[in-house]
Amino acid sequence: MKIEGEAAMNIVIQPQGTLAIYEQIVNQLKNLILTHQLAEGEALPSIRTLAGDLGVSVITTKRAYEELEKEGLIRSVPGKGFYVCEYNSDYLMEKQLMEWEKRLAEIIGEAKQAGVTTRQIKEMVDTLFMEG
Amino acid sequence: MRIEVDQLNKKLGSFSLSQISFTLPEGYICGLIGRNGAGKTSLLHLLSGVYKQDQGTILIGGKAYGEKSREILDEIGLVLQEPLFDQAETLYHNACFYGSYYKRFDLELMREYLNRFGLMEKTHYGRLSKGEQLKFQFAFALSHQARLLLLDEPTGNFDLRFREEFLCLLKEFISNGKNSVILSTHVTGDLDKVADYILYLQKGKLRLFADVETLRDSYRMIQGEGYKIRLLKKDRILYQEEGVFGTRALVTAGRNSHFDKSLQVWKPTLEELMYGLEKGK
Amino acid sequence: MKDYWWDFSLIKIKELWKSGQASWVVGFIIYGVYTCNRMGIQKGMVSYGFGILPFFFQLLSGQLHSIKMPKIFYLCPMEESTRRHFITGRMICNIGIPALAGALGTLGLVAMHIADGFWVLLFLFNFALSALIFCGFNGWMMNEKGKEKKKGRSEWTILKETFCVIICMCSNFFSVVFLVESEGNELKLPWLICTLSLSLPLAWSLRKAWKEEWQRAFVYED
Repeated sequence: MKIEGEAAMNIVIQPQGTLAIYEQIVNQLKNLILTHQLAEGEALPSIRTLAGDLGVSVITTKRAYEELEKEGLIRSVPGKGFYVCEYNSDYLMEKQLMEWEKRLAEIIGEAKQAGVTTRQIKEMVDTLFMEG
Repeated sequence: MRIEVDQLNKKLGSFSLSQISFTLPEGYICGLIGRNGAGKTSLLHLLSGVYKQDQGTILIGGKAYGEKSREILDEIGLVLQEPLFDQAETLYHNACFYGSYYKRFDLELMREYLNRFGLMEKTHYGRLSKGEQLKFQFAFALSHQARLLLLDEPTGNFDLRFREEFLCLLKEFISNGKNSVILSTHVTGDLDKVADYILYLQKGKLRLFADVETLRDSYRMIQGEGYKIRLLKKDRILYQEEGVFGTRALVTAGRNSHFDKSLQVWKPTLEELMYGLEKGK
Repeated sequence: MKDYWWDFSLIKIKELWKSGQASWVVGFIIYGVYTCNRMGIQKGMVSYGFGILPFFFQLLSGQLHSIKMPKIFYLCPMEESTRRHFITGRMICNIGIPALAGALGTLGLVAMHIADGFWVLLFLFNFALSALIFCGFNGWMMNEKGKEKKKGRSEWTILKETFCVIICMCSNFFSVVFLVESEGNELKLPWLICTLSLSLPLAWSLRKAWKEEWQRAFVYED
């Protein structure tokens, strides 16, 4: 979904996905910020504009923005909108890596219980990385 | 237009609306759902001042009907299932005649909408099809720049292409953050696209009023082997049914919702939620 | 005014007939046949045409037209004075046009030398009264039905009241019958008695119902 104006963003929503819609928005925006596709200090589309473009409720985009604000990635300026925070990208990447590690640990734990070997998991990871 | 309803009661023959209370902040679209006869149309009539409540208060933009009726009515656009306008007159005449009572009626805007919706202003209102009459009512409501739209199941009569445009127009309507919409509909698919709040009526009572995110957080659909579902606490299960793929149930989501890992869990769509709630109680 | 004629649509008339509310038409037909039989076809048809048919029109109008404005008038943000203006206009049409039909009928009778002088005045008076009664009757019936539902009284009471009113309506009708029958002055007294003891009190009693209808026309209630 290309949005004209302040930011050209590519956000894709899967309405029936396993993640809640707002979570999908949060994740994708987070990635855009971490990969510097959204620059520091850049203005994000308004809650209503984003909702309109994505075909979701304003409540959903509001929640997504609130989540990102909580994580310190964006800030709201009263009367003006939301802006990407000036951040230490290394610190944020570190934080994000920790979260990914936690999720991986869950999956690996389950796999181990099912009897999957380390080699099988490593093969899986290689294949997935190549696909991505 | 902020809408505040408190302890609303209205008896209508053998049916009554009872203890309806909710607050809709300005700038959102509220989907009004419920079975036929649940009271949706009656509620819209009460909100538009056509019916007077037996008890309770209705505040629209902070004003109550009575002395301020004229001010409130100036801001309301209503689309009903019945033909509202003069059947014997043309669309142009109807628009001018009734438009003259509204402060912000704009004839040029009206013409634009008529054009956009494929209606000719010289046609007689009585000669239009049901769907076209609804389109005209909608065009009229937009032309006098209403701040609150009350719509009674219009989408069922629109063709698919216009339905998309209609939903877009609704989103545009609330984009200024001040206008509000209450859309009564059976088509839950539409609500998935535009609704911010959901108001669910069942037999004249308010069963549910919440924003879509809270709603999605509060319920889960689970599917899997029957006995595993039955292990859950009885009061959490709203509805369950056996199917080809095992047992499916609508349950409330607790703070620490941990379901058995073999069960499929997902956040319900509005359709699944309504189905479960209707069937359950 | 246009609304008035629009309301005379065939569909509504068909509905009335189906619901049995228009069964009084049978009475008219029977009396028509009787009149022609009694007075000879030519004179009978003329007297019937000018004397009785206006009642037919008035009854029909009374059942089809109510003072209640269409819903949109209650949705439009208009001044109280404007709304009052519309309701008054509607009332005038609802009473005036049937009364006019009665006046035309009277003129016809005058032209055919069936009625003259005193009779003309009485006839006009009668028609005006019946226009009021028939127009108000329907509204009054709806009113009563609504009240009964709220109070929860039995249906039998409604029937009793309805019966009383129908008898009064018939007296009005028969007062014209007397004129047609009399072909002279002998039945002036019975006619006067009929009108003064039944029609006039009925119209007077409906006065209150009229006022209430007027008040209620300002608010849309189903």
